[in-house]
Amino acid sequence: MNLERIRIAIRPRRDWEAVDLGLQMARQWWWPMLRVWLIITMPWLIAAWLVPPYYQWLVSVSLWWCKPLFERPLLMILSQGVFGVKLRTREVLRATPRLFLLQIFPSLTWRRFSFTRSMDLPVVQLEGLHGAERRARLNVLHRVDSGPASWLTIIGVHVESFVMMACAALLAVFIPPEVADSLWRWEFWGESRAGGALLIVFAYVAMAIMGPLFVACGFALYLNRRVKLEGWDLEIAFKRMAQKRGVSALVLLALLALPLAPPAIPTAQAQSERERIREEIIAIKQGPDFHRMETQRVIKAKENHQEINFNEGFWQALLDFFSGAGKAARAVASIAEIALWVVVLVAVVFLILKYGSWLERFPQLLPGRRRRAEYRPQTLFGMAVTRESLPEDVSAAAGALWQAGERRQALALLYRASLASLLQVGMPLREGSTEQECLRLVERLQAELDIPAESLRYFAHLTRAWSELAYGHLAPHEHEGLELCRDWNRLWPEVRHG
Amino acid sequence: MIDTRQTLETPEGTDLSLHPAGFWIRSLAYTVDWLLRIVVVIAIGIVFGASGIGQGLTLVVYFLMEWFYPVFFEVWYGGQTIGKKSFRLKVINDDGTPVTFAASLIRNLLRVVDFLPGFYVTGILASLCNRHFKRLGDLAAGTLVVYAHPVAANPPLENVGSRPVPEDFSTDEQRFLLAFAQRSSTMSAARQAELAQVLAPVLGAGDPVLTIKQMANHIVGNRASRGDPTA
Repeated sequence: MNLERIRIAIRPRRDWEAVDLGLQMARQWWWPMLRVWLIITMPWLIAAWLVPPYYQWLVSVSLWWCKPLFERPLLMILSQGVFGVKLRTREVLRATPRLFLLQIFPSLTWRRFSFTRSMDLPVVQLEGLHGAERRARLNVLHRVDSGPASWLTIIGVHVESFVMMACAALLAVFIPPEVADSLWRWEFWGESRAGGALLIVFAYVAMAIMGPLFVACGFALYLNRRVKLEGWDLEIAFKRMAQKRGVSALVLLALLALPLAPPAIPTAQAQSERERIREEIIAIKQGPDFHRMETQRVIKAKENHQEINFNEGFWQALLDFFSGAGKAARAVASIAEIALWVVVLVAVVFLILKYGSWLERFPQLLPGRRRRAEYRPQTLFGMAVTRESLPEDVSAAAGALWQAGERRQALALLYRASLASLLQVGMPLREGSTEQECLRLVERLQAELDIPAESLRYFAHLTRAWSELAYGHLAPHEHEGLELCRDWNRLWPEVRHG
Repeated sequence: MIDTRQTLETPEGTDLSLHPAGFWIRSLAYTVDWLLRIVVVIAIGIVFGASGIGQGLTLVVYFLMEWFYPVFFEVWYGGQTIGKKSFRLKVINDDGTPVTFAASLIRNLLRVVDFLPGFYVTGILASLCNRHFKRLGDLAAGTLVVYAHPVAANPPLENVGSRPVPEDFSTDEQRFLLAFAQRSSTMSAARQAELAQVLAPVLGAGDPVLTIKQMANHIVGNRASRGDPTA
């Protein structure tokens, strides 16, 4: 171990930052590690394709079970790489069988489920410890800054399964929906050969990604503990200081002829000595020197509140409280609901008031009764059509005008009187309509509004006569005009009496 | 050199040290935030869910929690959501300044992309592809998740007397002498002796361990000597 050639920045780090150093190391040696991992796990992948479908589970379980073995060559790459030694893949593969056999039995049985596997592996593989020595060493290493080691395992399990599910999701995204339907059946994943093989591939991808990260981060935690325990950064700095001041390398070598790994393992004797000292410390701490008696007097108000009884009554009270709160919330909610509806209504009314005049242009939209009651345009074709604007006796007034030679006036009076009376019975005439449109509307709604056939005929006749006179300056014959004037009172009784 | 510390040179020529955090601890912080959000939404759902408007309210709260919970905390609480605070992480702009509203909004809206195709797998892979551990949202927004307190507080020194440091020791070298004294409680006595022995030819006569500790006391200004004052 030559600290001069170390390739990582040595300094005591906080626990999680040490894990991040592992990520940086994994980034640095990613491809060498991944290459070795893929090569040594390849037999499992091939086996997954060769064995019958109902034995595939054996392949995936054994692949998962042997993960601690696959981690060892990766650690070898890292541990050498950190000190600037670049191993060739072939060298690593040649060392792999020996690494596999290292304490293989405990590693694959009870230690398989150890949460701190990633951090403990270097003790076995690099320091070569076993038995009580290993345990003692682990105790020292785990004393501080080892919390993340368990988290690495817990998070790692989750991320690994997430990657698996993400692979399946990614596959599903690219499969057309008609096919994808069968992809979500359990039989596909559970029983079919293709589904089982896919599942193994997904698991394999997830393990390939997480394996190097897991090893590197665990190794980084281990390194950080050693940096702190042994002051690696101090050693480097002190050597530089000495060298700068001309202490020859030879002297340094002589001084440093001390074994670095494994360092400072407490022997059994030291252990018992420590035990004895610890007991002494405890005994001393329990003595009077470490305890102080103090009497404090505090004035307290006399309390009269009920003790909370943590039995049935308490739970009942809690339940009552919650159901009360629920009721209150419901009351608040229904009030808020009413308030919201009021807001909606106000908005609707506001809109009608603001833009209501619009509706008058579309009398067809109003229901018949309201149309009769409310829809009363004041003018049609620029002529007043209100009841008040008409003479009491329309026939007489029109006849008088006709006799006086005011034929246009006479027909105009008849026509607007007719319109007024049509409006009276609820005919939805609009200001924008033409004479012909009015006529067609009356013809269409004749039955609905109970207009006698005779009146309709009269209105058609009047419309034609009025149009010819108004636009063509063609007056009807004398007797025809008089007939129109005379018949009005008989055929349009509503206006006259209404 | 492979390092977790990234230095950032300011216009004034000073180096700022940033310690970006990787996905392990960030996923823990995210889990805390996620659980918190779930609890809040469920609690509101239980209390108000009885009526129609309560369901609406729950949905509104869920929407805000899902999209703006991180933005709110990152912008107004020093770059720390509750989860990040509990793991002593914070979000900053990658020029070292406090995170801005726009940057925080972008990095949190792009969570959806990092989530693809499921469970933030894209985000994790993206964070492994750059040495600042930025997920795609961080890359787009120009933000960084760093440790808020990367350096542990210095433990007090054991008072073993004081001794002046030789003049030719640079500031950095003095810093290492101090570090030796501060960290001696975590190193075995044998290892301390071994390390100090390296410096023995420079320090002169006497126990090198004690000498270094006395010099450390001198450096921090504990001049009141106790034990064997040799100064």
